[in-house]
Amino acid sequence: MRNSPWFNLLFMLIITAVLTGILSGVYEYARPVIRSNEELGIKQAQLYAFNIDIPTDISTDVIEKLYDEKIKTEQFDGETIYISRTADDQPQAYGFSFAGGALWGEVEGVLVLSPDLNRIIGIAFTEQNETPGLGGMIDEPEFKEQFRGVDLNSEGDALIYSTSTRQGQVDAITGATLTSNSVLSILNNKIEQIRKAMGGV
Amino acid sequence: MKSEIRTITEKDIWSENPVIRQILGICSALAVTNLMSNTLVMGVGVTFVTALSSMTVSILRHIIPIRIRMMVQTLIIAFYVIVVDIILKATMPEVSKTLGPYVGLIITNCIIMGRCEAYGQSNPPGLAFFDGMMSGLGYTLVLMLISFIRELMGFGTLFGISVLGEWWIKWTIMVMPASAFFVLAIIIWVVQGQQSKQSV
Repeated sequence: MRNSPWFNLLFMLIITAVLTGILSGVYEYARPVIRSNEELGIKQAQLYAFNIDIPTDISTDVIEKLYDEKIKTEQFDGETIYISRTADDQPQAYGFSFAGGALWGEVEGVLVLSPDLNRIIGIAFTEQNETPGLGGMIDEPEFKEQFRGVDLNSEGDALIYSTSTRQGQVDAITGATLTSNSVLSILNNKIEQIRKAMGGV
Repeated sequence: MKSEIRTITEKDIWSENPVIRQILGICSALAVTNLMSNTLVMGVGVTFVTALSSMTVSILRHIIPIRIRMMVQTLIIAFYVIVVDIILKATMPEVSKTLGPYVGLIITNCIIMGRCEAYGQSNPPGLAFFDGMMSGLGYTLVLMLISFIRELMGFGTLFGISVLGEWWIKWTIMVMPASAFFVLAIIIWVVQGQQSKQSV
């Protein structure tokens, strides 16, 4: 009986059902915590992109409070825009969510521009699954810091990489050409879209 | 029973160490060993999964149909790995983010299936659990040694605490995965040299 194919099939079905059942239970139980952790991660990434210093080793409540204090959201053209303001209530920076396909999967993040949309304040990634150690380095400070204070080109692509023959604003990651190019084209598309939509601001 | 436990411990940690003697689990040995804290979490994860899946396979060993046992083992291993992933995401989101895809890749760690197949399949649950735990410990010890060398030379820190001070020039190569090849190879060389001396 133990060698009959039907028993094999039945056994596999039962054990799969039991184990996935337990897993769903565990996941359901942990989901609220996981979700709030993810939200906190996104808030930290945004604070980083807005170039707002987060004091090291502080509690999550403080980060939440800092975030709520500094960054407001607004709806524009069906899209959520993040805004930080100066003390006299003038817009200081605009943050835009971006997303797009890269080498292995979707890359998501936030792009923060100056109010005249001509300068980058910062970028941060909230979701990426690129090759660890190569494409995954887009999430390292060494790569992200390059974008701080970069003036955007007014013609052609807003951002270009430096090569041996051409001066650009940022450097690509060696050994991760596809990821680097994808990230840049996602950012350029986003900037173009923002400029078209908010041209007059 | 007591001698059995001693034999398992001696074998899994020294004479048949999964990384040094069996050259298993090398992928993660290269990938996660540039920081000691990440390595420790990875080691605990692998130990947890190895012990529990070997025990589960052992409990079910008389009912699992022999022809599909590998499918069942993979399923059991995957189950525990996802549990580890959920626990990490809920309690240590930072570590979970740095370890990223490697947590999911615990499933492919050959040590786990190796223990299920070589030990759990034919021994009682208690011993299978202990054997899994000791194999995981053997793996963790080697990885901790690699990451000790890599973090110390690459960052001048241990567990993120600065120990070498400002004068130390950081060896960037030690942070890159390639350096784990050199460190691991040197460790294997030294340990196997000692072991062959013992056996003479």
